[in-house]
Amino acid sequence: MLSYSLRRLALALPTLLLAGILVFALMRLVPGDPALMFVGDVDDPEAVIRKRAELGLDRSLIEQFLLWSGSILSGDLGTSVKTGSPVATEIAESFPVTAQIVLIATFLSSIIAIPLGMIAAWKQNSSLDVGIVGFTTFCLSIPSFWMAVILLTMFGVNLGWLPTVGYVSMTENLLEGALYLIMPVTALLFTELATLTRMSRASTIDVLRLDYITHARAKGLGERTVLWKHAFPNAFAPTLTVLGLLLGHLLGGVVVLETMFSLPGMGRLMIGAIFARDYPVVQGVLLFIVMLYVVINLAVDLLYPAFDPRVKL
Amino acid sequence: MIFQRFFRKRINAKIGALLLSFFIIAALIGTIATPYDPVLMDIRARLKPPSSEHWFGTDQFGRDILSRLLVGARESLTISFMSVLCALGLGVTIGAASGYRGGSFDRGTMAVLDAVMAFPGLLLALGIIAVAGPGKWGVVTALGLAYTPGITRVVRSTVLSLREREFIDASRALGNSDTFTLLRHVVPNCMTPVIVMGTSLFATALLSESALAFLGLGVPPPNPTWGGMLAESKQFASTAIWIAIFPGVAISLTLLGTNLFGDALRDHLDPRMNGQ
Repeated sequence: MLSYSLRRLALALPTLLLAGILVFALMRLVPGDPALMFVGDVDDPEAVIRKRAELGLDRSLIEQFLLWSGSILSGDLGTSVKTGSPVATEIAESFPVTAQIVLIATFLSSIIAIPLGMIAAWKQNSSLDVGIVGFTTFCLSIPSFWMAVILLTMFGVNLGWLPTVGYVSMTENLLEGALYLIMPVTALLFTELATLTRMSRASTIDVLRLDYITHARAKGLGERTVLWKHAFPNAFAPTLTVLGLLLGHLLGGVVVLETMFSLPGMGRLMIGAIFARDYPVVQGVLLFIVMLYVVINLAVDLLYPAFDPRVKL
Repeated sequence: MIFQRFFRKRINAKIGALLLSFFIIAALIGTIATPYDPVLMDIRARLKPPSSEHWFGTDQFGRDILSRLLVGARESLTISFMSVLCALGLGVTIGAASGYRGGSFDRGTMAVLDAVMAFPGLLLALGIIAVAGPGKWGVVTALGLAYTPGITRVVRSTVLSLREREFIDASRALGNSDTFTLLRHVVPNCMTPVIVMGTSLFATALLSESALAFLGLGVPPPNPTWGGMLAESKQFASTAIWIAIFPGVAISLTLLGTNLFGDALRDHLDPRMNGQ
């Protein structure tokens, strides 16, 4: 177990390093002088030169990269040009909002989608299966932001059942906080539901075709035992991997919904930063997400053997 | 002949092809002529419900929604198509070279692509747009680059398995150069997975393009895009629901058409998923 974990960890490190280099390179491609951005429209060449030295822009690229990664590893992601507060603080404040929505949506869709996909696979090519697959295709065709507009109009404005914009932390007021999350979570749920159902169906079909299932049936076990005891545990592992990958993509997809519902999450932070040309924040969010994504997938891989005993450690 | 076999007994292929051709024709009409000027504002006719004059109604500036949808179809479809084409071009080139050459070149390329894939697609696109600037070409570049690693990986793995086949050895034994063998024999044989992936990628690209337009990072206003129209509809949807309904339906039906067609194509070209 230990050597497997260490090996997997060793594989994740170069990915993180390369991703860091990519973000660094991307930010160097930004047209214009970053020092000028901090100083602003003041006609003071001295100040610009001082800022350049302060930001280390007068050194070589390699030196700049080493300095940059050094400060990031010590937790310093720079300061926001717009607000002047540390980027790390801004991310720490907005991340819980995003995480909340994504985790609730993922949890809800898993408990619906995984059994649904398995049932579809079990009844493959029946009208039930066609119905379920049809439903997922339908869900995949509804963009979450369109769903959001419709939900907002119906339940937010016309019926007035739910608050339209804004956010209350669930830790402050559980009930009110939950009310603000209902619409964003619902809008996010459908696409996720569709992807997961399809994945769960495909992996169950693969498992049901294996010899040991035929054997289990041949020795006279009931269909229910075959499914629950033999097929499902093995079909679950690949779905778990997809769940890990999906979490990362949801972090991207939630960007639009946060803007839509004015939720103070990371997506809105990033969009705001893009419009304000606040590159330290853009860079910080990108680095944070990539780290999160690598860590989530690492965790899934480390959990994998617990669900799929065939994976030798 | 091939088409007949593909469409026969495949209701999803038929519906998909029908929907897609409908929107392609709509985009063509949008290029040639529209009932009204899509950016012309007419304050007297603002927020008019669908009528015989304006089939899909008008928006908050009195612009004809049908005309805007037709032009939006052109913008959305071309941007999505071009970004997929961009990803295919880059992906096939890098993937084929990497898989065929192998060795440290291959390992290096794959490591870099793994790092790129560690960014969620839409977020990477946002990062690239932050640098390249918003607008049509910014979106095409961002989405094209974001989708390249996926294609590259598929092409590379196909090339890796093809490389060991006899007909590739035969081509080499005949004295053909590596480039010739690669272009004439290897690349054409990995087109099946590329086409399947390209189709599903088109749906993803369309969705992302609409999302970016929705966020205001796509084609700048007043030029119509489906995503942009949806974003503008937010404030007026409670009194004029048609502003939100029509662009949304347009996006959904195009996505539905692409998904149905893509699924049918995959079933046809990859019989493993057929389940028979």
